[in-house]
Amino acid sequence: MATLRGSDGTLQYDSNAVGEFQDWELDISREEIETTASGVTSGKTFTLDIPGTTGRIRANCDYGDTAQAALLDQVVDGAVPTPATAQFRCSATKYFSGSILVTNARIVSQRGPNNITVEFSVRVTGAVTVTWS
Amino acid sequence: MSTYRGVDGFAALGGAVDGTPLTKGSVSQGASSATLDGGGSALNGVLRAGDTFTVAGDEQEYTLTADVVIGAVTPNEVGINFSPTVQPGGGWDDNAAVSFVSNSIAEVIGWEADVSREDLETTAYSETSPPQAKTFTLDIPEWRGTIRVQLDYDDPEQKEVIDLLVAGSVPTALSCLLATDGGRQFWGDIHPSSGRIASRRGAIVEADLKFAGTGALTPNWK
Repeated sequence: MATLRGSDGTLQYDSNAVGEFQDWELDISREEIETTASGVTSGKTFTLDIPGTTGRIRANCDYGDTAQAALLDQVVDGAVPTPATAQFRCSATKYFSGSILVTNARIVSQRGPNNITVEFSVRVTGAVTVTWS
Repeated sequence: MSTYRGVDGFAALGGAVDGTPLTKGSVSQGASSATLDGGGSALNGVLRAGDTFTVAGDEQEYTLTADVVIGAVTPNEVGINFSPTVQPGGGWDDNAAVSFVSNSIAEVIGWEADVSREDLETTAYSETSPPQAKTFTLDIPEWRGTIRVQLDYDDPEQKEVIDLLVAGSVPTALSCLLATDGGRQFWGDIHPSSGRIASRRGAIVEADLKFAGTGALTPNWK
């Protein structure tokens, strides 16, 4: 067993590392579907729907960075989107990958000791795969 | 790769120029277009229809009639269209200084832009290969945001936003530019949608001016 430091994490989007990257989150869920039959008194029973996954990527805003520009362009452009592969990396050999669509970008500029930041919300379309070696 | 400090940001109701624009070549009386450059120095930014300017030696104020991104065609240059036509009999000289009226909102302490595309599920049943995970595409974008200011109704730009908020008339979209610094911006048109003004003992009176974007939000990054 081992622990993983968040500071070793990175985010690859369409084979490019996201510049000025700060952190990522991945939220994989399967909606529960109740299967309890009428008359059962011992407890509710459930099965699960197929998985759906969302995520967040946070960085110091730099549209001059190739990966950040590609992520932002996907959300400001109204064309039918082309998903690209993202790797949510704990390290170079341990990561979760999926094909993502950017559903939201929130850019914040604030006076004081703050960098201008951007937070991308993403939706994984299709399966998430785990690489762990 | 670069980081950008919040303290270098600003917001404007209109365009913004980073550099010192000069006329490129002489411009004749009656002309309604001209080319500007930085006279050998960097010239960046976005100019919006409605921006106003004067030219050295000519007291007439001119108004741009179309949006244009500086450097979009040739680095450090921009072609502009304006009205009225050039007034002086001798036109404008080559390298005449061009002064754009600032559209910056005064007393800005922060801004946010939030652009979204709703996810639309495309997962479909299949007799031969049932889906193993949900699939999606995206709707067209929409955007909204907030400009946070220290309240100053004497500032023409703050006043323009607040006056639009309190008026009940059919709104006219405002040109908006949200900048990380002089050369890097996000721009589009907005409708002010709410204003939250807070006066608290021991603090500067602040206003959160929220808006809905109408049309595209466009990055311009030099």
